[in-house]
Amino acid sequence: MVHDLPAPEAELAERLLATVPFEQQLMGSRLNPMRGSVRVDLRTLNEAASFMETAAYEEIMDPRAQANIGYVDPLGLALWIETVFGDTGLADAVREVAAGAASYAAAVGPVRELVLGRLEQCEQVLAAEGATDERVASDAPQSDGEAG
Amino acid sequence: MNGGYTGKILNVDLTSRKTSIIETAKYEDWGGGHGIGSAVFWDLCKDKTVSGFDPGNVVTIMTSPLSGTNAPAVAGRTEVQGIGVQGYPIEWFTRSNFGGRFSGMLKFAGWDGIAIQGKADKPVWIDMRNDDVQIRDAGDLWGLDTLETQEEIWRRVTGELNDWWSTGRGRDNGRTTQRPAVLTIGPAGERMTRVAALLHDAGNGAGQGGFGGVFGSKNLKAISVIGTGGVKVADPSALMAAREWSNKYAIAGNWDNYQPAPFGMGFHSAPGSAAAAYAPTPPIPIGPMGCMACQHNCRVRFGGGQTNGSSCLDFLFYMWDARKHGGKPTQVLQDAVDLVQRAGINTFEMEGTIIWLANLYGMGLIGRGKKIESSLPFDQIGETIFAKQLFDAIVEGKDIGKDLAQGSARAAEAWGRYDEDTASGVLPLQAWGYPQHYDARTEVEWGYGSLLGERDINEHDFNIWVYWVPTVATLSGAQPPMSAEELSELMAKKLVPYSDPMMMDYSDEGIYSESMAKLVAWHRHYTRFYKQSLAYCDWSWADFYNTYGPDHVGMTGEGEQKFFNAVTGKNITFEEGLETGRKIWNLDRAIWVLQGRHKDMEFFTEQNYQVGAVPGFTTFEAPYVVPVHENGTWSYKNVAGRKLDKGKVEEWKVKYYKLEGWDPESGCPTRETLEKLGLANVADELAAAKKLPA
Ligand code: SF4
Repeated sequence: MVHDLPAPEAELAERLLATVPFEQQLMGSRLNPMRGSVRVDLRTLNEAASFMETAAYEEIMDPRAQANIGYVDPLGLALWIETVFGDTGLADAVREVAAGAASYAAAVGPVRELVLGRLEQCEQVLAAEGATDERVASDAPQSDGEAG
Repeated sequence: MNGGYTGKILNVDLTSRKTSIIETAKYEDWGGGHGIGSAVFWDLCKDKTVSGFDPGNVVTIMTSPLSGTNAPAVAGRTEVQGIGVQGYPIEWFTRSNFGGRFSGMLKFAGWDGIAIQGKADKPVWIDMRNDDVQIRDAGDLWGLDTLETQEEIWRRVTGELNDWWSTGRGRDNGRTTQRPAVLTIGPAGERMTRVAALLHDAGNGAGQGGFGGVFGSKNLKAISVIGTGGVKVADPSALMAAREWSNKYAIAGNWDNYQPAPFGMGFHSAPGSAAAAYAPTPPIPIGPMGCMACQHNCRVRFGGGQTNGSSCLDFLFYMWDARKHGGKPTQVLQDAVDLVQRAGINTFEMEGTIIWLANLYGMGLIGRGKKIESSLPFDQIGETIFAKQLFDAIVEGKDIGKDLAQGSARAAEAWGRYDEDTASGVLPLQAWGYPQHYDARTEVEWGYGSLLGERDINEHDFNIWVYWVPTVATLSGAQPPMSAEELSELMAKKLVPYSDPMMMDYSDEGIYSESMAKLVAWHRHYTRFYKQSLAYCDWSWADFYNTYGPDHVGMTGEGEQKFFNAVTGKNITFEEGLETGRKIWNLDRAIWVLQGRHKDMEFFTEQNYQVGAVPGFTTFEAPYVVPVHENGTWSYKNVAGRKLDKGKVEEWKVKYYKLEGWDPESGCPTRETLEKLGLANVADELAAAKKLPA
């Protein structure tokens, strides 16, 4: 699906690969029955897409399978992409995938693939442009890690 | 023949260093554990408005009549009560609980519990060897961490490991190969922090309430107990029959028909299964571990002895590094668990605190040269070095540790950030200064229970069925084992005397309903008696839905009193137990009223009323799928991001107060209610304090 999106301008590509300031981060959730849902702070698109994961219901129910649920709300992700990164095309594509998926489990793979594919596109654009590796969107302090 | 109780509670006055005996018989009607603890506290604590750090505070450590027996998932748990120091803004009378074998060993030594009052003039530890109780000097134990203290006491009491310890009273009742069961504080308790826990054996801790700091204020380093007796059981064959009956609901009776139970939680789960879900990476061998006589053995011991067996909630408080490893705990987490346990710090409080610090750091508000000055390495949150420096700062009272030792709520107040950060959720507190566990906006029953009480309830009886199972099923696109309608029917059968299916309605209307008031009341009464007084463990009970039960119906309503009656020789019904729970709940409420509780102070933190939807932006708890009854139909629905309506919560509180027989204006139990419960003396004391409603 990503190939339907026209290649981003270098400026947009840099933004999509950037780490956003704390105030603009997206919150994900790791579902953990022993502790409760645990907030996860996501500061890059790569982090957000990579964090999304799930498994079959039977596996999640069976602790021996050690399956994880990394939850990022697909519509929240789309909103984030649109308002923070300014990529309306990608945001709409994420919305389209989410709308067509019967469950989060069905959406995870395609959304992740879509976003990671877009980031790959960005890398290519920047490589072609010979852009620098300066990708920090702001000089705001950064934290990294799962909140809890 | 009566059984279950040894007949005596040890009463320790640390100020005079004298001990005496309280007859258990006077308190037996309260059941055990929490009920007896509240009643003893009521009688012994002359001024219930003092600080938890005051020598007048009374701490009770109580067993259940089932402690030390072979009743399942109950025999090893111990209830701790007293004026805690964690509650905010008031240091409420509160409770905590820990597993292991301390309660069983107390019974084997001939004691139903311990009440501690006063303050020793210098550090002491209590050495209990059957009837022989000594208050010993702890000058050379002071400063040791929680593991070192236990090992040192083991050496002093029973000598080298693997030896027989003999009282000289004969072969069959005077010898044991057991080590003493030790309950101890670490340096965080010695420094009287509000975030200090009590630790016992491997990974058993009573963290909430700050009782470690209370022990520290009393100059009490540890209590050690070793016993060579047993527990008298009124009807041993009935107890064995009950245990065999319960095996049909456990994996022990279903080896050939193993069914994974949801998340490894509940009576039907396989040993070690819940903790196995979080086995570290790289993988290390694990084996099930649990409390005395438990059929579940929910926790695990790691092959190399990592974390000294901490593998429950205490094991999950510092998951930051795990994120980089697919959610699997790493060496960093193991190191942090070891550090926090040795220092004797409450992990649940630390988890919320670290989230808050990370947020403040992200906002550029804390660090070198920042508004909140600190030299901690915030850029290394998630690494061992940050955890170590944070715990050291708290224990030593330096840097921001000086304020954080008072708990995150008081630290926020000191930094002028309480209102703003609890309103935004940057500091994730729910009520009374306790970190949020489950969201009051969505899983309201959990929130209401905590608000009407004094701490995060930490009771998962409904949580798994109203939240986890439907949510995970929805995420996965699968069908949960019960439809919302079937769940409501099952609960209507189980939740006597209310028997109202609408209690499972978590819709926008249902959360403010009379039925929700009944659900909250049922849960308060059930847990006060069955879980906190008889000590049935939260990780196995209540047993509503059971994978192996007939038609998947679990034992609750039949099992709890079956074991109690077999052991004690009493003959209570399930509902009578709930009524005793109501009585205990009212006594606790009366204590809080004396401490200053009023309807006008029972509010959640502002974020619960102000911050709603927008998953990813203002809530991370999405989705939150719960049972709802809308337009005449039951379904599971995602209610993530819901805000609570403050006015409606206030109206709901009045519904709840009326249901309990409390004054709708103040939330205080009325004289009529207290007298009906046999608590006329409590009404008199409230009246004397001018707290009884007219
Ligand atoms: S279920 Fe776990 S925590 Fe509860 S008594 Fe058993 S082993 Fe202990």
